[in-house]
Amino acid sequence: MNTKTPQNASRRRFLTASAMAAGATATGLGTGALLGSPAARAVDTNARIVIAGAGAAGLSIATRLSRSLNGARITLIDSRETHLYQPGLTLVATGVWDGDHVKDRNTRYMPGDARWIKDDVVAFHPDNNQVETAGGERVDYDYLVVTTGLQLNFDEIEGMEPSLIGNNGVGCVYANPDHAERTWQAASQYIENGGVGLFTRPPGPIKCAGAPLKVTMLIEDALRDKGTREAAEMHYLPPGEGLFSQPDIHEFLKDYFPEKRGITIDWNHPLAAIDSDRREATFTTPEGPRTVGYDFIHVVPPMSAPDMIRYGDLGWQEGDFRNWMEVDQYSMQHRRYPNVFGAGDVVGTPLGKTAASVKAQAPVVADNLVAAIEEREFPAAWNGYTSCPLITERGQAMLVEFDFSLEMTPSFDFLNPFEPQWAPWFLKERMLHAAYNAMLRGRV
Amino acid sequence: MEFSIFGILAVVLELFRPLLLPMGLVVVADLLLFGAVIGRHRRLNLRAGVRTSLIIGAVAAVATAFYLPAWTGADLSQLSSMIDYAGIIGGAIGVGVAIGLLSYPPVQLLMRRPA
Repeated sequence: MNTKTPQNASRRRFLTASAMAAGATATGLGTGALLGSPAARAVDTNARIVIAGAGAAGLSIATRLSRSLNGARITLIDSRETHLYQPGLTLVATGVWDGDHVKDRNTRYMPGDARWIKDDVVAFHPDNNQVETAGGERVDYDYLVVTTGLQLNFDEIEGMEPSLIGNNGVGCVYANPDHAERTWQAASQYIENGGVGLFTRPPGPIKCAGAPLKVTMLIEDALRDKGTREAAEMHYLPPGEGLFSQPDIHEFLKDYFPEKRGITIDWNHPLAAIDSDRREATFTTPEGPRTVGYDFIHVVPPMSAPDMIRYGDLGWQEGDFRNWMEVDQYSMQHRRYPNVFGAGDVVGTPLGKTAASVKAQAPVVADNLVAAIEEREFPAAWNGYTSCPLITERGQAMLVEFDFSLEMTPSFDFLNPFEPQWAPWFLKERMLHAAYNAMLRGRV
Repeated sequence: MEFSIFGILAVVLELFRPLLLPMGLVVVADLLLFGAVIGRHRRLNLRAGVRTSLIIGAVAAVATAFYLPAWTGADLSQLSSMIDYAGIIGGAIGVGVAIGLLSYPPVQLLMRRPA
């Protein structure tokens, strides 16, 4: 039988076109579901929700709330239009990335139904349910989410100011691409010439507590790569007797630094002062002040919540977390103002101050705030999850994850957290930025 | 931290977001060409087309395996664990399959059955 009839040819064309259309539709629907998906059941409310700060935590929470609430009046207050991918700054400061790699725009992640006030909060008035902006506007709220991030207190190191970064051997990865790029300029000279390198860390909580360690190890790796390692003397100077809050990693690094990397650990050396003209740094040690000459110094400033929180009504009034925002470490709700929540670097909790912590905190804050609106029990709790891809050299890292228990909590059982491998480096260098952006869109 | 398949796909989407439009155009063009393959399949040397696409995919996979560490700023000597190698192999297979599938329609249309 001859099948090549006009009817059969047109039927084949029809079937072909139909199959392609079905495939395209399925692909489009699937992609559309990923690109934009409403909440399964949005809660009806006309609550006024103010989010102070449009960083990682603020945007993630705003997106989730926008999806979970129908009719809420969400207002984000932040003057910055540029969004910085701060976890990438370590790679900028050590020459792996350039500064543009960590820059994005807040407008890409701002929920469409949120009001964006391009100003900064300068005061919180929680007794009146108000915040005050630099421009003098007073914004009322029913619920407040504080995600301002923290402040860098360079002035607590005598002689130190941000303008020194990049000059006379001074580096500091915190906390913008300009500082990071200038740090790489200063570090590059050190890598070229060798000499004494000092790598510091302040007392108290800092954001990305692994960053000072990563900078140290990446620069040591660069010295070996350059062939100038023998000409370099490297010191890591922690403020106390700990290298990392997770005890197993502390034990690992305690030996790894001196034995495998030739990095001397000078315990109990908080940086007190710096003289960049003379290239001298002074440390407050139990034996008294000690001044050390350097060719390169990586300065990490002490950090705290912004002064308006640190010294205001929202800060811890006493205890171990003074200088930070007072929240219940599990629910993220303020302990004295029940309509106030906090997340990100600003909160005073035993752990955190990483993007991974924000990823874990954002759904907790969103879900608990929705529960507060509905006057029901909080369904979510943060367990302190935090993570640090601890880069040991360009091309290898250790994926360290733990929680309030300080026990390791690996997401991937097949990744040994104590062994430097390429796979965690791949995650850090290629995948985590994408995961971060997915977090901003409320999808992870 | 637990990950859902939806979350993983969301991350992959973010990874390829800057390339979505060109990738979409390539996929649409490829689907159109595939439609032409179906329409003209009797005039085409299917065995040669499939074989050639498989070879192209295999070459792409091998090239990817060697290039993947360099793409991240590492080198082959830094692959140290079974997971590292599994990642390389998995990535290479993924790229090889994708390149093989994408190359098939245009390659096949060039391979006609002798008259």
